[in-house]
Amino acid sequence: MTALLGSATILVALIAAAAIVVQGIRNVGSGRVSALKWPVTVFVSAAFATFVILEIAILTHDFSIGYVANNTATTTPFIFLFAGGWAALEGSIVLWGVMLGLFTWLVWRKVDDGDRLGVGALAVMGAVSVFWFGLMATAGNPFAVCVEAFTNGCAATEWWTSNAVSALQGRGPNPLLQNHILMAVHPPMLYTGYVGFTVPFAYAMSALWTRSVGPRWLERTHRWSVVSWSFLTVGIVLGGWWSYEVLGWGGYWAWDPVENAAFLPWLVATAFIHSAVVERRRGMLRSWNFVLVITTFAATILGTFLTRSGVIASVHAFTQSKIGPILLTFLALVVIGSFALFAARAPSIAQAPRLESLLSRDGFILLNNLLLTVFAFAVVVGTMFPLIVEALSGDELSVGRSFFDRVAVPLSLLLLGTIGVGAVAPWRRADPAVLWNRLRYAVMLGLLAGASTVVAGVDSIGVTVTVTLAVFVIAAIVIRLIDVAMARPESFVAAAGLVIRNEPGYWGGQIAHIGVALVAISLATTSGLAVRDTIDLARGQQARVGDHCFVYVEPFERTDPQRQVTGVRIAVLDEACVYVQRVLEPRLNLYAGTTQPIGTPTVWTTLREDVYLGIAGGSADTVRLNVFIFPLQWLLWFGGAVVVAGGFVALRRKPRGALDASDEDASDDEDAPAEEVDV
Amino acid sequence: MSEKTKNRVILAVASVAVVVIAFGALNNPALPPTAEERVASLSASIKCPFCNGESLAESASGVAADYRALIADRVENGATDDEIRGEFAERFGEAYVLDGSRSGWTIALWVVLGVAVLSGAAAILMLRRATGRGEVAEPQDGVEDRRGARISGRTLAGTAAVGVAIIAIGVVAATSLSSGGTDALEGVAGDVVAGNEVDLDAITNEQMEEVVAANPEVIGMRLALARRYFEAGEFGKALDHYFEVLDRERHPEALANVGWMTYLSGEPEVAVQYLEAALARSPDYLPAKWFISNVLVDLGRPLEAEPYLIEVMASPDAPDEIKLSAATLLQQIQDEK
Repeated sequence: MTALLGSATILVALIAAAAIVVQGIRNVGSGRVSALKWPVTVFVSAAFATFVILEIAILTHDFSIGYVANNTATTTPFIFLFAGGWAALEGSIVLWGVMLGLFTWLVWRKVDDGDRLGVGALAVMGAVSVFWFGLMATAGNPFAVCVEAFTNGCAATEWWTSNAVSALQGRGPNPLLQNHILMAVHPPMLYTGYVGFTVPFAYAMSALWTRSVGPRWLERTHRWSVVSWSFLTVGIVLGGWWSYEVLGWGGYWAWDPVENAAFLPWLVATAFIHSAVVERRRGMLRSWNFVLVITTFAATILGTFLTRSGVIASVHAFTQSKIGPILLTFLALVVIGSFALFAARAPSIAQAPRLESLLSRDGFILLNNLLLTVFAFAVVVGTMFPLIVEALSGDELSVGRSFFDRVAVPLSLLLLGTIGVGAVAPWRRADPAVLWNRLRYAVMLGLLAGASTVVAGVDSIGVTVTVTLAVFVIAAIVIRLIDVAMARPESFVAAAGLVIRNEPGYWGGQIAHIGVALVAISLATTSGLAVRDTIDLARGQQARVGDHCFVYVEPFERTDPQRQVTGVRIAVLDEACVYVQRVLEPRLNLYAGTTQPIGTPTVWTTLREDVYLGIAGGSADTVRLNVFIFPLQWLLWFGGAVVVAGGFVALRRKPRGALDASDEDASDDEDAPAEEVDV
Repeated sequence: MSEKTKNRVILAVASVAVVVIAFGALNNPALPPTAEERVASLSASIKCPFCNGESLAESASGVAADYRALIADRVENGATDDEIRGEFAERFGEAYVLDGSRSGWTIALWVVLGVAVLSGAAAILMLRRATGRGEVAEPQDGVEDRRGARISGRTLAGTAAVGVAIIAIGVVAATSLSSGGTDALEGVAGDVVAGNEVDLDAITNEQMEEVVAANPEVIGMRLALARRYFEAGEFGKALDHYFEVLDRERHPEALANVGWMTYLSGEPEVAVQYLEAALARSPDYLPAKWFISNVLVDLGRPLEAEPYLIEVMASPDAPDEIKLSAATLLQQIQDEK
């Protein structure tokens, strides 16, 4: 019954989405949005209902539904049961659909009669929704009924059938997915980001369609882009954190295709957010912004294709599914359709003022765009290269960590450099003397920080260079804030607050840049200065790793409803093995219905470093431990939070009549994005 | 302090810092990696067989731990990194060695990337030199303005080229991965596809690969190839082909052998499900019975294994050594009762 109801809501949503498209096309000329009221209302309600019905099926353990039987169990704790709604392929499509519903509703609320751009955007969102709900209604139906049951789980499903059988017990979520609370939070964050980019894409397509190719679509979607980007950032950081806390190999990023799938739209979207600022301020890069927004949207689909079609075998991409060809077709339609529309309208997308000087904020943002797009290109090529080579020649090869690291490290360092200079450079043309005045202390402080790492005995040149650049970036921004605030009559703290409030877009961006610099420091220290070792300890025995001494105190066992926990207590002592600093409990969790225990590492975080212990094996009397010491690991998560905080500060509305406090030379180009210029 | 003095002080301090950094860089020559570092970097550059694409360093599975220990052993015995990587490549295939710089494709990858960087830089320089020669007014929304068409045309051409390239790559990849015709095939391979009788033993693995690549819908040849890999212990390749088969048909042999490989990779519960599925398809399929009884015994469910073992022993098709093993296993179970 639940299955029938769920399938019915999918069909209703599909039909309503199609109605949004039809009504949108019919009314885009007049901009009569009231004609879309019913289709939007029905679509949003049906999308929401689909999600609710799936959750009800999961929470009531309806094992006659294949998805429920194969991804949840009666012993699964509530939070992971609830997260089961999006933990596997079909459920994740439902989450995608419900997000689309939510965003369609939010966009619809802001569209008034006569708003052709808005009506066109809703029609495009309707078309995207037709695809996702069409996918749910065909190859990815979460309500497919079980027709062949195992003891645990379901062997085969069918769409419409009266021969439903019910498994006695569900298979339960993948143990890795129920081992940490972050798995319940990370996907919705990521999906909010992914799906959110449908909105700028829809507005861009609508702008091309209705020939409103000026910056209005960018103004309308600026906040959407920043919100989506911020959520995507949260999703990526939480994903890294989950990997670090759960997978037990002591890392947070492996250039796995699913990580690349999230990173790719993030890179292009970051480029887009920056180049959108250039268009809004200077009227430049109109065409480029269309290219970037189409690419961002296509990247979200490409990422989904890579990870969900099974083309690249990986821990995440192992899904053997029929949806691959469908996603590929949709991707092709999106790319060909939107670039064709763009090509048809390109002659009407006028170029505005020239880039006066590479030594300007415009110039540095352009450079940032180049670096980010090359970075994105490298990620997509690296991820797809084995596939392409295999298709062309039949040769099998793999592209792994060292390729990506070799590309990412120099590009990231260059990006850091451009952030530092670009953030404080004036628009249009920077007088070298002015730029030097704004940067001189930052240069000095950056170099001093780099030198102090050498004095402190750091023997990794990568860490020294990164710290130099990161401190340079942070100092450049902070000094700029001090300079601007000191020029005001209020007390410094009040003035700094006012400066940020008056120009939230600019200063939000700078806060995000500081976060990026902090992340960079942590990336360098945790890879360049990490200590890794594997030690075998008998009970009572001790071993030294780095500045710590580890003693095996005792084993322990515990039974939770859904798992059997076995672990060891390890005392962490100082270098001299005298003072106990902490007792850590790395564990192995054996989940019901599985025979392979999942290692759960334990992490002791201090301001200086993380001490990370994982069980790698052992016998009755001894334990083999993976010991990792990662200096300044916390800075990675903190820096990620600062980046996201910057994103949300940038969303604050600028007070009416606020002067541009960030740039004394701004007044002459603030409102003149397409001013006449000399050749 | 005058601006000039300030600048001098800053430059002096910065220079000292640069000297210290340079001293640090020169004074810390890269030390040769320790044995642990070599094991860590080798483990990171070799894909774990049966671990869904994770490297040996990332995988928490027992198989990966065993291979890490093997690498440590080889390092201790004086093998070079290339030798160790080569051994893995030989055993599991080139695809298991990440960044196999031994292939010319890796160079192609870097060339592609280099071209991308250069064209991006060229685009920026073009924008710097070419934008806005002459007055260009702000276009109003909805009003066509063709004055920028010259540059838009150029941007358009570039964009179109990139778009076409992406689409071309996609199309080539998609067509090569999906269906291909049988008409172009010649010789033995063509005969196989056409259903003519041929001696499969006379065909090399490479020839079979070609045939199955061109004819993804023909299952017989793929099964034969997968069986060869399975029997040779090349499980990575065998799994690829069996999964291709399973995408099209729930073939009992594919289900049974995937089940067995899954068991060997440390996932007995999943293995049982594959094997149950194989028996659901073909209740008399002997290898599935033999495999499942072994897995069930290992899982501590000997009572469930018993009937399968009896059937294996009673089967006239079972080879003698399997019957003997089954009898031994059955004896053990009954002793434990």
